[in-house]
Amino acid sequence: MTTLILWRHAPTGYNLEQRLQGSLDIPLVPHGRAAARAAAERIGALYGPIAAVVSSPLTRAKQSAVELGAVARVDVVEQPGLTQRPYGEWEGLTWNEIQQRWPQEYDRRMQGLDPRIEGWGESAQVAERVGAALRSIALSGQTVVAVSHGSALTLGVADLVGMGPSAVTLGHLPHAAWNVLRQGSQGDWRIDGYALQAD
Amino acid sequence: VRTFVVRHGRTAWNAAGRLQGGTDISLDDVGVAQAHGAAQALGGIVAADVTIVSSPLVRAADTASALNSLLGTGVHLDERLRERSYGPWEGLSSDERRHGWPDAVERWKVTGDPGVEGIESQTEVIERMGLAINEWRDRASGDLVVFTHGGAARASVQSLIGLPPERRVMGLLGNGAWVRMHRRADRVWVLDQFNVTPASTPT
Repeated sequence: MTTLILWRHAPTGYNLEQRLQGSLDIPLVPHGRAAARAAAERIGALYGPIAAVVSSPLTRAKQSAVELGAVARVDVVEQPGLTQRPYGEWEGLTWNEIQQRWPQEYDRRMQGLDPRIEGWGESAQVAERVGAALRSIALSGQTVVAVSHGSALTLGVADLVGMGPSAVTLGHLPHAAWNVLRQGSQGDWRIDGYALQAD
Repeated sequence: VRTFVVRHGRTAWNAAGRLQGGTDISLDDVGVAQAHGAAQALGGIVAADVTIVSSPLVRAADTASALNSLLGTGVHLDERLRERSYGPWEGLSSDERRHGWPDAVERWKVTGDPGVEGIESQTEVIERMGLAINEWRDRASGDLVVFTHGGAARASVQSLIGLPPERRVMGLLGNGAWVRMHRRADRVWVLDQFNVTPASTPT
């Protein structure tokens, strides 16, 4: 069965402070490595053998990916299409700070809409970009793990299964959690697991 | 508050790949262990204020009982949570279905509706399951745990999160595995987890 495991990176310091990262390159916190390793071991045990580990070029994803590469005994390959959505001028800020400075745009975001701010990655474009990257790395009859980011992966799933990019019904993907997507006989993608975790 | 939709543990027919539908088959030994595994895990997750509801079919009701034996809140049985009725396909293995109905089986795999006389339509399943889950969500003040079946869970979860029924998007839950969802104040359902199996549960 053609399988994609969509794995979110382990936590960073910005994540713990609830700061938006987007295209900012923030490394994992020290215990993030252990969280990545625990998830990697579970992913390897549940879905192995793993044919390829493909990562977003951002450090937090690559640091997570190498833990799985060690378990699966494959080299990590970078794929720019798996990078995070840019959050423009909101990058580095907390949601509280954003709500105070951009109350209207914050409300739009909470409704699943794109805020009208400088540098924001539009949902439709990010969904198409991540969806295309995911389709390009899938290997027929094999299991491939994509290591990426919360927003990017939620939009990527929406694109693979044909949901609109503003759908709010796919829940939050926690750090080091993963989704399982499998391809049916007609090339269609199916959600076999969502937001699964090591513990 | 959270809503859990749980598939029953394994039966001998699950193990043999026979479609059950409305046929009332009990858990086998592995299924009993899966029911206990799910009960242990869910028992540690749900709040003290919990409502347990179940399909009356024995494989679901016995899976629900395993959780109730830990929590003691009682189990409400609801006919609307039964498995989809598979009519002439009940009791048949995958090979037997493919041999007798090759085109209908392919249609079923892709669209969810085989178009065979006597098989309950997906629309009916979605409607009764959606009504039941929303109604129990309205009645429950805390966490809600719904024990049901593979086909019924798949179709209803897909519909609740706003996906049209014509194309299968949600996969099949494992035996003893569950979905976690929540319903927002505007009554929109959000998928939080799908196909969760505790690490200790036998498969």
